[in-house]
Amino acid sequence: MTDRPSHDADFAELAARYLDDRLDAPDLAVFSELMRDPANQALFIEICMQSRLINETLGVELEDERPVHTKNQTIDRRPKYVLPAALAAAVALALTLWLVLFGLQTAEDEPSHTSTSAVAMLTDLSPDAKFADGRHPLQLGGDLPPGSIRLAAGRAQIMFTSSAVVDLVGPCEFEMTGANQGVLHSGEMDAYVPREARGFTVVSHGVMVRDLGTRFHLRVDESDVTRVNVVEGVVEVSLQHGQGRPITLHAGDMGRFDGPAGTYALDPLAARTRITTATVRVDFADPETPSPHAAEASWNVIDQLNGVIDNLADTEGRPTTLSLSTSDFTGSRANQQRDQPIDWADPQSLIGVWYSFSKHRPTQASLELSNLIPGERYEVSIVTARSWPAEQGYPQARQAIYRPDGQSDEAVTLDAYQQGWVQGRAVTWSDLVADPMGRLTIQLQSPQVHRSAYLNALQIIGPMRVGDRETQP
Amino acid sequence: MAIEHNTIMRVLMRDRAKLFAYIWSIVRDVHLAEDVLQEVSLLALDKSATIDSEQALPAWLRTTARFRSLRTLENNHRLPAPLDDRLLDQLDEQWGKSDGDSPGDLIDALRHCVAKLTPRARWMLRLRYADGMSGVDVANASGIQPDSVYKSLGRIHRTLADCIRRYDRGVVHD
Repeated sequence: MTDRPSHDADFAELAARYLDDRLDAPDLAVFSELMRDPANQALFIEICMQSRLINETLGVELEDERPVHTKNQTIDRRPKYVLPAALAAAVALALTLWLVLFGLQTAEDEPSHTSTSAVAMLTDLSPDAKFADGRHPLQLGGDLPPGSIRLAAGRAQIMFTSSAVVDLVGPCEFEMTGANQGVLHSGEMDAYVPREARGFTVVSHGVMVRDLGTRFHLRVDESDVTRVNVVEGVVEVSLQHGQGRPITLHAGDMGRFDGPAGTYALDPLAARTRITTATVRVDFADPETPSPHAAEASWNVIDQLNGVIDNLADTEGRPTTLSLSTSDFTGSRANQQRDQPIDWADPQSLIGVWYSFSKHRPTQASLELSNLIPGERYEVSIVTARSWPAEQGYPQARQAIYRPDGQSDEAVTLDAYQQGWVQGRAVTWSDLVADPMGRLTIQLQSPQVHRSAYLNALQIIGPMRVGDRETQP
Repeated sequence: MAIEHNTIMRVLMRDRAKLFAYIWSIVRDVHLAEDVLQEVSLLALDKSATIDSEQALPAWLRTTARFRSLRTLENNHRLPAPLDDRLLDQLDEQWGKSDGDSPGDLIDALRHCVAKLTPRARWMLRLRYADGMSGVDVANASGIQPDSVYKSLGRIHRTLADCIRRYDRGVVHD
């Protein structure tokens, strides 16, 4: 196999090789000589800009593409700088700037250069960010006047002039109503509020959350009930139709607030937990064919595709504050063949599997573990075992990519039949770090059409907020 | 007159892709480029008193980025840099021609032109730049020789450059 440019290699080809560090000394000399030509210099800069903008801005628009005439389509493990890393870099830059500005501007200060109508700035967009009104994504660094952002998918980060930062998670609708306040009409968001932006306020369906310098997560569910989860610091929650003083929530507290009804419920675990190392196991079961074996107390059995499950129990039967959110799974396979109690060490006892599949395009599903301890390390394993060989006429391999977001631990590519089932191999990441909001996210990707990514079971080990056995949420 | 921090931040966010591309063109490693970009951003805020105006900021950022990039290569034992100083000077001049431009127009043009590529070309761009694969990994994933990948990428980049120029001139045929 040749990997040297031919003698008549085009300058653009040499540039592509140069940027991939694939030119040896003689070729580099040729490239440098050609680069003396101003026209080639201009082309080189254009190529650099094309490459970067595709990575940063247009990557999501290429997601539907697939090779038309390719063979040997085994996509090996991806390098670390895949899409989430690009996002992480963008977030890191925004946060770096934000941190530097901490002491430089207070909520009361109006930046002198901004237009009078600007209340925030768009500081990041994930590559898959899409806006519901179909407009092109707003430009990074652009002023945002008061008004609504309707994010259909992906993530968008805005920084208010107060220096409060909000991460919007699509689909959601968020309205900026002032330099230090907004309204969450639907969906979910994270807020990072530095001391200077103390008093940052978010209103949501009759619920007002006033931040006193902290990080918190807000989610509006289908019933317009607002869920508040405080990661750090303190927030005050007031109900529009409620009586009495605001409810104060501290780090680790979680509550559900029904604004129109004027009622609320705090997670009883919140006040009665301690942080200790725990093991939590989840069986992702098929809802149509329940296992003949009763669920064991040491397992959490989930048979509803895609949703949020709170307060998972650990293997000792103690309730925890750990929540699990799954999305974009497309179906599940039957588990009627289960003939033995479920056993983490034996994937063949875990027949019945969720999958993400599309006949026409690559697919991706995800699971998110939240309410972990920010910055702490966790061991996370998943069983991804496809219990039968492929049906006749279909490809035999069931290869997919299993990838933790924003971690130094790498993606794992695994054939769910041969390795997952026949060899009984689990995928384990031994050193995943919970993000500043206390979350871990794992993506399951099926990069080829007519393939599936699978999920049978999950195990997470690490520090969690754990209650007593008698403390039922 | 010193430049305001908010102005620096605005320019950094606006020019982030361009500054990253500039750094990447020297260090040719995404991780190193990210590190240098962060360093340069912080330096700009730290040294704001020495920067005269918003107009002078892009050149200041580029000069600092060049210095930091070369130092990073040195720290990673990757010197001498593949492009000599004279060439980097000439390239700096070229990079400076678009200082102050909003990237929005280029993004619109690129979007238009990428949409006109063949599915296979778009797939290759996705693997190489959106997914961050090396040319060799793209070759493995596509079942072709690495040589063909670089030839194709060269052709694709030229096609895009031509298309963007036509788009900029308003000569667009759908």
